[in-house]
Amino acid sequence: MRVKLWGTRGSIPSPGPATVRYGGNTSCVQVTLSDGTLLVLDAGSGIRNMSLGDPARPIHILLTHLHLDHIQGLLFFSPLFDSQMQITIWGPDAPGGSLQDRIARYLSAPLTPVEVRELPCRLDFRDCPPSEWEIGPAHIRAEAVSHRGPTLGFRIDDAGASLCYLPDHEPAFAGPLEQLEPPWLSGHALAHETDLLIHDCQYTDEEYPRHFGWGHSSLSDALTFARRAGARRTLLTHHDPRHSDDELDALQALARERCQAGGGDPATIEMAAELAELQLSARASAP
Amino acid sequence: MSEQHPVEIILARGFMSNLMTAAFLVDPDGTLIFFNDAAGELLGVRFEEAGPMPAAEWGTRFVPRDDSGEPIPVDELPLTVALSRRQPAHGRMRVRSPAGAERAIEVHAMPIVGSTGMSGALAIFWETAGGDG
Repeated sequence: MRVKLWGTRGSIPSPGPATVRYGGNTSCVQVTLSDGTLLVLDAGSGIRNMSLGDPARPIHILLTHLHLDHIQGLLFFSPLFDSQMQITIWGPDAPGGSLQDRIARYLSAPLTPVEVRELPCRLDFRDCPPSEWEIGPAHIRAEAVSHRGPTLGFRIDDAGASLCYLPDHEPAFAGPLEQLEPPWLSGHALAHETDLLIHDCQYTDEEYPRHFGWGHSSLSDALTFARRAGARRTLLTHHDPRHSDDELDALQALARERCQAGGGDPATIEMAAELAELQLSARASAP
Repeated sequence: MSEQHPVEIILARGFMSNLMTAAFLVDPDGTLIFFNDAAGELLGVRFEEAGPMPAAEWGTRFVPRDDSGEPIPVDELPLTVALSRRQPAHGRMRVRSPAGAERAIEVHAMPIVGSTGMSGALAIFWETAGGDG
């Protein structure tokens, strides 16, 4: 399974000289499965830059939720305008209409010049309740997680490796993370012993109290969640648009310091950077 | 991989933990999976001490009785009704704490329905006049 980050910013695209290294595009992750099947996790502005491999392969877009920073790139994803392409968009089931209807509220006048029904690709929408299913060789698990509004987290298991994607997640909204037992810890089952956890870390600890309940995590909570879930490697993402590259460098240094102080390997924690690529391989089986 | 409660149940517990009014939370089977400190005061035992209880146990442990002193069957308790009929339910009753104190309470219960269906029910209790105090 290959993973490439196309958008690591939260809330709103934040281009400029202060965000060159970590990137200014909003949430989007490309996952290429072991058989070449392409998954796209969220359709923030980063999706516009995504380079595709085999253009003949179907594409699956998995939306964690429909906040604007996770769907605003959809109309700029060129395969949607290719009549040869088969694209399936998966997103959370919710009251207020089908997934297609809810997305069409954004992809319609007066907000956009093109309507969903005008897109030339072969497009399929799948309301996705918390469940498990297969895409290509991968086992996909979706669960509702703590954020504002219906929001899914995803776990993808493929060829012995696993990825957990929780870009918008505030597990501490339910209580202090150190005190919650695993069944009461939002996202824990998805992230349990995953090879790669991509997790929300929008705020510093100092910023978090002013944003409690907004659906995002502080650095300390993200680290605590990753440790309690037993994630083998963690990328902290959904960077606040006000955080510059230098501030994210400092946050990463602090994260690694705390990880080490807690007995962990600091090299397993890093701030997610746009265009970063990772290869997830099967773990060696225990003898 | 560990199983966990649906997010609406997790958030309900967080909500209840911050209430000063007593509250119970049950799963779809009727198992009592949480009650808050205010409920603990009313019942004379903290959840951390009592732990989860199947319906048959919590439905009788606190000896719920009607105003005439007759035991209320488990399947007529508001929480059980909220689960079985998928509708809010209200009731008044007397309960007895493990220490023997009797309390008069009113209970309002409502089902919790999430994206996978019925995930449990919660009940909020008010103490009314007429108990041992």
